[in-house]
Amino acid sequence: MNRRLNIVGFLIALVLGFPGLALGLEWSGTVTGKASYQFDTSDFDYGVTVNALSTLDMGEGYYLHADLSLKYQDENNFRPFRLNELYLQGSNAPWDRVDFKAGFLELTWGASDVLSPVDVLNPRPFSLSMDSESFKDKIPVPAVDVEWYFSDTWSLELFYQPYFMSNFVPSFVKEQMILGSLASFLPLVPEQTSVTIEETAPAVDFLSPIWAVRTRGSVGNFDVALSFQSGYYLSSFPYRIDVTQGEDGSTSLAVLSGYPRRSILGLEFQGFIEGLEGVTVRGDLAWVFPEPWIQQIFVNGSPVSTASILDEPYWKASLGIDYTHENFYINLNYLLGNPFEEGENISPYLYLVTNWESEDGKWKPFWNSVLSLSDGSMVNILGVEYKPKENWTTSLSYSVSSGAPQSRLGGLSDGIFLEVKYSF
Amino acid sequence: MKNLVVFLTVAFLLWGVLAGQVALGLTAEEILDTMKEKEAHFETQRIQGKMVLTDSKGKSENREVVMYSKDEGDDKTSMIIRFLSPAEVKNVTLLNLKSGEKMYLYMPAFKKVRLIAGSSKKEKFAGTSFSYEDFGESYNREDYESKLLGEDNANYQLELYPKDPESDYAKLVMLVDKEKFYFKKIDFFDKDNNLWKTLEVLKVEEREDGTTRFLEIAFSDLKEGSKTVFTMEKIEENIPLAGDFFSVRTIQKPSL
Repeated sequence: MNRRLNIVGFLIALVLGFPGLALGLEWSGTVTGKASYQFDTSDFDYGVTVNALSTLDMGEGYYLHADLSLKYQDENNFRPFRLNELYLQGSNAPWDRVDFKAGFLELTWGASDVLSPVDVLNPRPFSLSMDSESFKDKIPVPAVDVEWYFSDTWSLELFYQPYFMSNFVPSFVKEQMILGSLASFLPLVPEQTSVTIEETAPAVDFLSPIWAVRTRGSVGNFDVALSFQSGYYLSSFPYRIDVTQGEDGSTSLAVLSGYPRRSILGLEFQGFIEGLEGVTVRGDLAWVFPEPWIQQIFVNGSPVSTASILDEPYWKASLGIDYTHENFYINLNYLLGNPFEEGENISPYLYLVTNWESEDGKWKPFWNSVLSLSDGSMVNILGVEYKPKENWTTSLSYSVSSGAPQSRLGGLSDGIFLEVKYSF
Repeated sequence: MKNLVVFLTVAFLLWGVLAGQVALGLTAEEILDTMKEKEAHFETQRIQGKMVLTDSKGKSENREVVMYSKDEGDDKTSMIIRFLSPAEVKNVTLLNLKSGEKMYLYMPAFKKVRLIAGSSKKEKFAGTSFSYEDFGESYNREDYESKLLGEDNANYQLELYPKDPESDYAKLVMLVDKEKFYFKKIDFFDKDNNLWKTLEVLKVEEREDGTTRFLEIAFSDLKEGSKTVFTMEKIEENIPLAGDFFSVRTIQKPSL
């Protein structure tokens, strides 16, 4: 389904894009070159992304918005040509107090600066990077989003998505995750193990859509939002793993996976407290209600394990406080769960973002750090942004992790990253 | 001839004394009040303009902006400022509600609106020499202790001391046009009483009702050696705006 939608999107983009160019639509965007080197694996990766977006004012409050990207990277090149967004937008249309978007949408929910647990309407492409650019990278979904402003400061938003789309995870990563989950009780040699994964997408259609509702507004010094999402996990969970051991020592794994249902009750807030000059408080809380999910493992046809992967409702959170003084910025977040953790795997982290901007705005050294509060493993990213001239930005950073290989963050490879971006 | 010279001298001196008496008759607070009366008044306003940013090495960058403002009463103004160019800041939009009661920044790349903290108001806005706070500033007797430093034939010179203890500035020295009652230049001094910034009016328009409106201003940061010149190219006044125009909803719109 995902591939078919992408082809449809590609064709729509072609149909609209070329006449758009011919009509002289104004396009803006970025050209971004990235390169990284992983010290542990001596792996050198590189890629270039061209992103172009245009908004056509159709009059009477209606707009057509297109956001396309062409991406080349040396491996795991997820959809080289990507339709990021393509939608019809109504602003004060069709009614004065209503805004809407319909098409392929990327929506951002949540007030917190990093890894909001309520910002899960869009699936995401795979990335091992810990930078903010990677965090905001999303896969658009075919959907309609309508917001009704029933007062000057309060609104009610409805989201309707009739097709399911999942996170993009490369096959080798899925296989590694399966092997990792079995490692504790089944010794497997990766080189002698073959893995086949069959995923079943949930039955989402026009009558059984993914949907969400949110109301938001202001209360004193705070902006708050309360939301409810009814949908599915965006990454698959195995429900049956068949392990077949051959006489020659080889092992084959046949994995059946699905996407459990989930509902999320969310609270977002951002505001400031009188007397705490320069301090802004932001946070998102998500109370997740999962569909119970049982995982069974069979070895040579015999059941050896039945485990409950998802069972009870659980909390995820991103609570942050940021402080700005002159050119110095510090942001400290408490995270309960990262995007890859669900259910009993949820663990706490501290996420620190600091940067300082030079007086002329050209240099910005930064230090980002993630600390797992459950096992003490850590990732530190030191870097600097430099703006040599108008519309050009470069960034060089060094990432180093610490902790045991099996810890939450200790397994991440140390590396150096270079990015050059040009805006047009 | 000698009598004529004496007469003219006496007349000149007398005019000077009278003029001085007029000036002496005006306190600094009254000058500020008169300046306020002489400001062009509007309920709503739309300005399209151009900013030229020059750094300490003399390199210049151009930025186009569109600004909406509304007089909210009680000396408070709500304002929306959107950058139209260059590409790297296109559609970055600031919402300043009631002279800084609440400030929001919309960054299209992140598809979200951020509430800006108090001290962020002192940060520079998108690389200009202006701070967020400078955009919403007005110079009223309610916000400043003021003193008349002196005068000449053309100008008054005032000294203003911010009442807000959180202000970045120890004092402001303001040069006020005696005839039209607008400030020509303001020098901003830091807490150590060193000259930090200057705001100069480069082009002013006097309207039929005797009020004035700035058409070009220059804001210089002397510590950095940077300068921003803002030229207002198209001004529309008292335009109809919806009651909820100055809102986070508006700053996310594709076009303003």
